[in-house]
Amino acid sequence: MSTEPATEKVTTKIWQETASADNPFVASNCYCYGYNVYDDVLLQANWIEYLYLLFIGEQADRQQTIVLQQLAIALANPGPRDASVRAAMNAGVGGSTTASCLIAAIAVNAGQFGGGREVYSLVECIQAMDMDLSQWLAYARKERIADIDCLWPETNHLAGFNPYQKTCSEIWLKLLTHVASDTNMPFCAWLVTHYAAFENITKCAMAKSFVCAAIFKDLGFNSEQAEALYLLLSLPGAVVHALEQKVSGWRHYPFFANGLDLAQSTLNAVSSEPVEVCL
Amino acid sequence: MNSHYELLEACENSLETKMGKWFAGDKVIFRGKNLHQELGDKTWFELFLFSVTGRVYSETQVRLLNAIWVCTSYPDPRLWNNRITALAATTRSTPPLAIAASLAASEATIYGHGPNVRSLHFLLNAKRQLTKGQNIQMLIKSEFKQHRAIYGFGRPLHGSDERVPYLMQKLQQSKALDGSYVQLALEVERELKTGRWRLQLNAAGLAAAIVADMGFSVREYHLFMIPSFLAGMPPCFIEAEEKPEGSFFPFRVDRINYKGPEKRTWKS
Repeated sequence: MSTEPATEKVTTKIWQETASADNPFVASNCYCYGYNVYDDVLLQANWIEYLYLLFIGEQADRQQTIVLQQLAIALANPGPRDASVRAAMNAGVGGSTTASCLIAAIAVNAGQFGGGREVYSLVECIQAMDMDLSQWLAYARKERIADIDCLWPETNHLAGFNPYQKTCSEIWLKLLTHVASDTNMPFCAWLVTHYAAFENITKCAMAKSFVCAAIFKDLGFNSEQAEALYLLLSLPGAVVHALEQKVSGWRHYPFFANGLDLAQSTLNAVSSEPVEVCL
Repeated sequence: MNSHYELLEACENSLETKMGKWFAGDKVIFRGKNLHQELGDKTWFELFLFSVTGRVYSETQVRLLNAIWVCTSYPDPRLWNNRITALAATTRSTPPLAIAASLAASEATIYGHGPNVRSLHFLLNAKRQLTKGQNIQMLIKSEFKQHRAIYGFGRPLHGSDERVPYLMQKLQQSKALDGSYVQLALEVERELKTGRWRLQLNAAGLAAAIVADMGFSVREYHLFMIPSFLAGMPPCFIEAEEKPEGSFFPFRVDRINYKGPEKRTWKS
């Protein structure tokens, strides 16, 4: 058995460990950005403060902690009508593994329509345009569409605006106006002032994704961190609904028994000759 | 009726599909074909191809497409996506969780579906630009300017790609070397080899050219390639499960190379 010290290492600014005296594979102390996690952080910080430290590398101030906590509560349960929660419930109701419920929720909540990728795109837009009203008005007029990567399907809506609503949901507007009262949330305050103008131009409601992106930006998260936190913070609701449906069972869960209709053109094709071979 | 949610109301309880339906106890319609009667003798690979494209390919084409999957199935647990499978096995997670996560991670930037899909995107766009009269040198320059790379050419780990001669041989056997996209890929390679870039056509670029010649769209190719690494993953799971739990390349504490702030005290 090899006893040579490991040569390939994982380089990190986040985490440091000291080894246990009797076992090099066991940590006796863990430090997150220099703070002793089990002797210090655990006794003094709350989970939101620790989460902020993990992402940003510094302690959050009191206001940042309060705002992130409010956002975490707002995101924690998107509710059983939400696509990501429905995905998790679909896994749960069939008796799938708990991990697959979480994976299902993440995969669906990752999208560009109300999902993590929309938040990512919006944080990128905020970084690029900041509070330049003329640029944002041009964006709202669809003169500027977020870059499309061919890995992601094209979308038909403008990131940040929900085409199925005329005005922003009260719940998300409440959160935005509440956090915008803090002087350290300049983009949120700016958005409170201007969102109605954007809604007027787009004829669509400011979406949850825009509110979340604004808060993430003002808290100092970059686009990828915002995308990740949006996904992470939305998981608790998804998994509790999945676990509930696992107990409740598939007989009590929608299947759309009479909801799927095969198009006439497809029905007609069934009895026809096999499709032509491509040569 | 509020015009904003009119569409949602219309879709609430009704979905019309062209793709397929299960008629319980009777039949399954699969893209306009009866699954058990009309498609029942297809290989799973052929069925998957039909599922993705709605088209049926010739035996020669199927062999060539199959070769794209075969040539990228590496049972090496050090590879980043495969390592997820091995790690899941060493922690005694389940095979589907292991492989689902590995397949999802195969949509990577430095390998896998990122380069695959972007290679096809490049070739389809290049053909359009060349048809409009742009020359190949300008095309390469503009691609480098936009992406700082040309997807389908070069390889991060080594200078050559062992999958390329294999795929070239399959192309020759299939008499498909003269396809216009394959020829375009080879032409771009000639430019990149002779220029200052010294980049070679890699397997992602060649595979993209092959499917472009078969009429694949970017999205069809994206879907088609999902299982392309799959065959390499079960061996990683099997062996990690055979070995003692937690023993897959374990990390000792001093494998962490810490570069962060000095030790400090939490301020309440």
